[in-house]
Amino acid sequence: MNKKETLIQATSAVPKIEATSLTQSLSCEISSASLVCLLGPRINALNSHMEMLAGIIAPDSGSVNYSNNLSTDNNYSTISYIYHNSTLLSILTGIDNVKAPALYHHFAPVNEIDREAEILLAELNYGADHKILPAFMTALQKKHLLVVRAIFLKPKILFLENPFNDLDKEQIQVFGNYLVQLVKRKNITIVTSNVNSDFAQHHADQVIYLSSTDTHVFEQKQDFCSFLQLTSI
Amino acid sequence: MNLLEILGHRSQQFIINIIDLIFFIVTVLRRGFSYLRKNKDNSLIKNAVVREIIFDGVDSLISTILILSIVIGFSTIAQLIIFLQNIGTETEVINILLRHVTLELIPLLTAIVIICRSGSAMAIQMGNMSINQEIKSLELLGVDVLVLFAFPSLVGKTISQISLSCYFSTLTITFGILFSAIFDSSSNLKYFSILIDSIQPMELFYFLINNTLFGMIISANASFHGLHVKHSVTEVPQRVQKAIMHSLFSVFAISVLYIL
Repeated sequence: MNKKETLIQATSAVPKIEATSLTQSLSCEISSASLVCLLGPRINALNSHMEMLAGIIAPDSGSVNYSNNLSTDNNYSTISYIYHNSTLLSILTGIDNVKAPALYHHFAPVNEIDREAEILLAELNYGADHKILPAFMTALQKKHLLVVRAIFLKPKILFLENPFNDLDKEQIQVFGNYLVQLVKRKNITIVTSNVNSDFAQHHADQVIYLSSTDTHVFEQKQDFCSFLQLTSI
Repeated sequence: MNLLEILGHRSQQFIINIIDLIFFIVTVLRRGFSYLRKNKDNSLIKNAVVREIIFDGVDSLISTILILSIVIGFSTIAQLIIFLQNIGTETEVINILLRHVTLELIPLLTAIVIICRSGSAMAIQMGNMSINQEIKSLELLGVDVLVLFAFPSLVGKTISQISLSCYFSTLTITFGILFSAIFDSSSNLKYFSILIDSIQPMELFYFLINNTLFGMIISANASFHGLHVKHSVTEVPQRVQKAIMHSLFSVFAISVLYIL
């Protein structure tokens, strides 16, 4: 089994944001090829901490350090971030949306990008038409394509804010399984915020729980389960 | 606020808008050409420019410009030729047709067609993309929206403005002379050869500059205002209105400078 490398290390880091009183500091290590779930009662606080980990907002105190493999100059190529309100380009079809950033960055020759896009979309494993505009897609298909568009650039970490937002129970199951498979097959690290505790309990390699006052980091599933029982969340 | 203060404030705002627009055009061109230099084999931007030319230029050829040429040729140019022949010399007729109609009026009309037809459409599209976070999502993937959207539009609209203006001028004058020959005298057909002989290279150069400025200003206003939509859907119509009005003011101002 490959040894997991630490990609991000946060030490007593508090995100720097205006007009909110965030006081919880976060200390954690995020490893390669792992699924990390940020949970807690305050969704905004979770997303702010996630933005801080992704380098979008700076820490007010403490520090966030990145592994040498994570370039912070062109961080789109190593770190991808999908906001809860991120959307596909409405003027392009699904498949063109997926290919556009790769074509822009001249990631590979055009025919190779076409082939790669077909492969990634085939992995979604359901008979959706990707040659239609986003306006005609289901919420699940849009979520899938946002993730495919992001992983097309082969990032090492993918941050997903509220990934199950707008999805029904069945779609959550399908999308959750897709994320789990991505971590396993592509060796990518996925950091999510505000997923349901069932998903975190069954699939997460690490759970970070930000309560109103404290931060708890769980590396073992059993520890998180005990915490859930203890606090009856 | 008294009248003087209002005038001062408006003038200040007008100058700031012009500076913002010039800065925007320079930034878009600098980033666009720098991107093209680094990615010579990349067809994404080139294809976007071609799509823009098709949308702005080719799609409006028959539906708008041809019909307008026939209408203006019949209602204005033919009447102008018939009327001017009675009160002026042949040279004066040619001077008015060439200098005032072909080189000044038609580029202005072409610009108005482009502002109404695609300038407004582009400002709405950009505004909606901004409000739906589509732009922000792309920027997070390292895509420069000025290069992906504003640059192809700037180049495409400029090429469309120049080519449509040439096409519009040629057709309007052709139909005007033809209608005047039909309804007045077939000797009016002589204006075809006289017009061609009277065109000076310097006038063509000014015509090119004039149309280039029109195309750039229309596109820059649409992109600039569309990308400035930030929070609310109500900003979209406000920004579209500004894009259209600023474009119209600018093309009229340039036309006045051209005449001077």
